[in-house]
Amino acid sequence: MKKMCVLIVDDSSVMRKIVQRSLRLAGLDIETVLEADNGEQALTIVQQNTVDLIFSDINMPKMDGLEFVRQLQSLEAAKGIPIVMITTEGSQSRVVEALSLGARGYIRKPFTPDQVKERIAPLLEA
Amino acid sequence: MSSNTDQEVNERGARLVLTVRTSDGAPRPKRSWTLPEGGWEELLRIAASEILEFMLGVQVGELPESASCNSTEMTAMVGLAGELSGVLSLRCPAAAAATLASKMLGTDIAPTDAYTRDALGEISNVIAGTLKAKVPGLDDACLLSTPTIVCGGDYHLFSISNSTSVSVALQFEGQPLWITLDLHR
Repeated sequence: MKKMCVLIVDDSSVMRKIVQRSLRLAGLDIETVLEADNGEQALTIVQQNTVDLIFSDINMPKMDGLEFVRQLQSLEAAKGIPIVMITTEGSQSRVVEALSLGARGYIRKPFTPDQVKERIAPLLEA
Repeated sequence: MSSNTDQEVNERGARLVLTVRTSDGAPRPKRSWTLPEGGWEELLRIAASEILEFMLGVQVGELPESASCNSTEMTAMVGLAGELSGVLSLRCPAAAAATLASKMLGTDIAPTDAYTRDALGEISNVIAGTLKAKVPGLDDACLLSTPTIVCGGDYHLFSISNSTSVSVALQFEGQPLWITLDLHR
C-alpha cells in the first residue's frame, strides 16, 4: 500500500497533533501530514498537493467544516478524496449536513486511535 | 394574554416540538430538552471528570473546599447559544494549564504558550460538547462558540446577571482547576 498524504483541518493546533498521533498509533502508513487551521487554507492546500485523506473539524473560524466540504466538491483536484469530520458537537443535524455534502464519516471528540482506525478502514479499502 | 398550543415538525421532520402561541400569533417554542436528575452541577462534574481522564490519561478528584480560586492565571471560555445559552469557563494556574497541554500532546517537553492556550481552549470545548450531549434533546438545539482564552493573574470574572451559575473544583496530579457553567435564565 502506498504511503499516504493526510490533510488535517482544525483551528486547534493541539487537536491537529492529537489527530496526527492517533493516525500513527492506528497504524496508518503516513508519508506526509499537511495542516490547515480553517477551510479556506485547506482548499488551497488541496489544490496544490495530492491528498489521500482529509480530517476536518466542523466548528472553525473563517470557513467552517461544512462550507469547506461544500466548496471541496466543486474542485476537480478533490474528486474521490475521503473526508472524515471531527466534531465536538454531537449535533446530529450538522453531522447529517456534512454527510449529505460529501463527507464520508465522522468522529466525535474525544476519540481513541482504535476509533479512528475503525472509521477510516472502510474508506481506505474502497 | 391568551395563548393556545399546537405541534410542529422541525426542519428535519424528526421531532415534534410543542409550540406556545401568544395572542399576537408569534410562536414561542418550548424547550425540547430535559435536564437529567442531579442537575447542572452533577452533570458538569461528570462531563469534566470524564473528559479530563480520557484526554489526559489522569485520575481526577475533587479539590478540597479550602483550596482558593484566587491563583487562576488562565481562563478558557466557550459560549453556548440556542435553546440553552450561557458560558462554560475553565480556570487554572499557568502550571496546571502547561501540564494539561503536555498530557494532551503526549509529551514531557514543556509546551509553548500558544500550545498551552490552545489545549486549554480545546479541552473546554470538548467538556462543553460532552455536557450538552448528556442532556437528552439538547445536542441539536444548542451550538458552541470557538473558545476564548484570557491570560494573566490580575482579573476577576463576574457571573452574568439573571443567570444560574454552578461550579466544580477538581484536581489532577496535584494541579487544581475550576469549571463554571453560567446559564442565562
